[in-house]
Amino acid sequence: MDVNFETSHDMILMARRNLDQDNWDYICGAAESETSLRRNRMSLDSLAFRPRVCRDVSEIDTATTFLGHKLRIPVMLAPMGGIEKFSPKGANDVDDAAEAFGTINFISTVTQPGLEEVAENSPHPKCFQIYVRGDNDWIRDLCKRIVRAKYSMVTLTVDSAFYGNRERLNPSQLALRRVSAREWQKKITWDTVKMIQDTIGSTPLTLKGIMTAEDAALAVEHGVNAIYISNHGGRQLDHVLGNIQMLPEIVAAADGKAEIIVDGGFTRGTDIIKAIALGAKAVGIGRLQAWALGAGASAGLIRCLELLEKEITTTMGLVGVTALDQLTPDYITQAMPVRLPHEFSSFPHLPGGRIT
Amino acid sequence: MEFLTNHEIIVRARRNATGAVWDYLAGGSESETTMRRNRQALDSIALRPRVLRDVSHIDLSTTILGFPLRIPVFLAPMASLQIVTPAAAMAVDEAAEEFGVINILSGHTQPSLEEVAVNSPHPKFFQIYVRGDRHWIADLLARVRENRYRALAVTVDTAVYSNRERQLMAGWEPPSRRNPGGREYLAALSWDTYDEIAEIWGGPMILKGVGTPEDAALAVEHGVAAVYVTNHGGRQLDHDRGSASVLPEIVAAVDGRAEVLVDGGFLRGTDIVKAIALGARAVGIGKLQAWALAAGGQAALENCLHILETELTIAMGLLGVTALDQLDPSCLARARPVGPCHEMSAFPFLPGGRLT
Repeated sequence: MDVNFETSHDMILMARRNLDQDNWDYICGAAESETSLRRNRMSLDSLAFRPRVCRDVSEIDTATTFLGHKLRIPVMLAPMGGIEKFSPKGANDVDDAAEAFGTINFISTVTQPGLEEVAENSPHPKCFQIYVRGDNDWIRDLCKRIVRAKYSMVTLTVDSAFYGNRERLNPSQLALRRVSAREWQKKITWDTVKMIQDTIGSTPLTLKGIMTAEDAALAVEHGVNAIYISNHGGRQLDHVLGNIQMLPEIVAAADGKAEIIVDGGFTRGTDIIKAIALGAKAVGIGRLQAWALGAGASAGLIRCLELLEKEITTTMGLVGVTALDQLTPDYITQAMPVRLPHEFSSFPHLPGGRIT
Repeated sequence: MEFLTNHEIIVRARRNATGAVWDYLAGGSESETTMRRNRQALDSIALRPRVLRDVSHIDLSTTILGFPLRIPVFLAPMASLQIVTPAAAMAVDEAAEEFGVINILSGHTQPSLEEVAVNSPHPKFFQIYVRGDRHWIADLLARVRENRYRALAVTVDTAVYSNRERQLMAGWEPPSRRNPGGREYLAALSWDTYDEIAEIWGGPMILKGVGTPEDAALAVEHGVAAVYVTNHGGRQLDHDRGSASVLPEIVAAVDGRAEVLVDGGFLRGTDIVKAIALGARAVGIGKLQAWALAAGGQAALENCLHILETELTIAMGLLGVTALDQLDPSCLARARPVGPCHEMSAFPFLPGGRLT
């Protein structure tokens, strides 16, 4: 498929045309009043740059690493469930794009194809994301499969004790989610973390869904390798703060002993550079990834990453840095948002402002 | 259950209620600033979710003045219910009995306090507007006591009936307003009257309409069993503060010497959790109760309570707490609202955003 769009606006419009209402609502929606979702955008829009000038920015390097593995840009592909419903090859469309572009994808427990198939699809480093759906034996068996399939890293999602109250979903979509095995996700504790670490051995572990300095400190105490700040795209607990708001205190709590990554509302190069300046190693994209897949499967996702690469490069140049490690909080300051936040508010030229 | 979300209940209520009745249910006084501040205050509080805590068993139960509640919600007293649903206060009483919460019967609704009393055995309270002298009070309270109402709520925020401009412009008044007799007694209400009432009643007293810590302290000195923080749903004094803003200072002033109840814009499980974390014992629902009754009488009100129970369970589970007494201010953070706050802004999928 040859997919070409010049801006993410076009990409989103293509996705809306291709996706049916159920898929659109699943991708775009969030929990209850969607306040957490809007806080993600609002908190990004509440930060501004302090650009430095008269610096030679003719050669800009956007690359970085996550847990020692190279990233072409500081952007990774967040785990998403049910990709097979809106992209022909499901998680392998994401995997193909990650391989072709040069980034890391997180493969969800609840997407297709499954663990082994995606592992075999390509050689680049990738991460398997665990939702707990069984007892400790179940968890250990899953961990052994992950290690056998040679995943470079493992993520445990910790913000999903309950399925968030997603009011855009219709009754049949909700019925699919009433999975009794989900009860096991309520029971996980820090002992589960230890058990997983013991089973996966030297494979690094990330905890996804940490939103407080207290839990970040606990993660570091437990020797967790990376902390993934996330409110699940506003799809889990409503009325939490925006993810980038939590970044500074969690970076402080981690004190360099774990890498910090973050997702939630990141749609622009400027968003990503703000996160790096505040101490994140890289940023996850969820909805943006889904819109890109909806627009054009793996080709659409590659094009989306290329657009982000262009935005990141431009932003770095205009801010006055030539490599990501030159970014510090001094390049960031507080600001008032200039528009009401929502999942599309960084794309002001969408017809009607917001597409439902 | 017919409704999966309270969105649907509000849409159905709007269909069923005529313009005048809808405005009575949904409106506030003058510029409706107080009413909007109720939502703004709640939207200015964020939740801090703690992870990796076993939340497989969550207990939502509590008590008011020793009487059991299945969830920390009670049915606020409302006047003129007969224009909202034919069975009026009986529908409320049935729902309270079936679901397992407490209703406070308004002194200005149908049917009579005797009829509601014999309808069901669960504990219920009575709310009084003082419309006469000591003899009038004694006669009424004799009936209330004889009919085994367990506590008396005295409304003190209605010294003067406010300017409800939706009604003024429509040239319409609710039934409770059509008999002007005895209003001078409401205006004359003083702490001496309060003491008289307490002496005649001889049982637990709730002071409904406290808006300042000064009055909360006085209430405690005068021996109230509960201080009920409310601005009458934004229907009395305009330009008052939102209830959730006032709640912490009242809790501090009361200092555990009485229970603190609160209402005003509480529509979601997350709202209720915030109130409990700030020290309220339980939360009253007024507009939400009325919308449910208009949508479908007793059945819809029970449905609404089930929805709140689900939302409360999800909120508590994702916060990482398993009982109400684990909620405290450390579960909360200050935040900015993500958009304009109004009486329906907790329900972003209402057609047009707000139903008028």
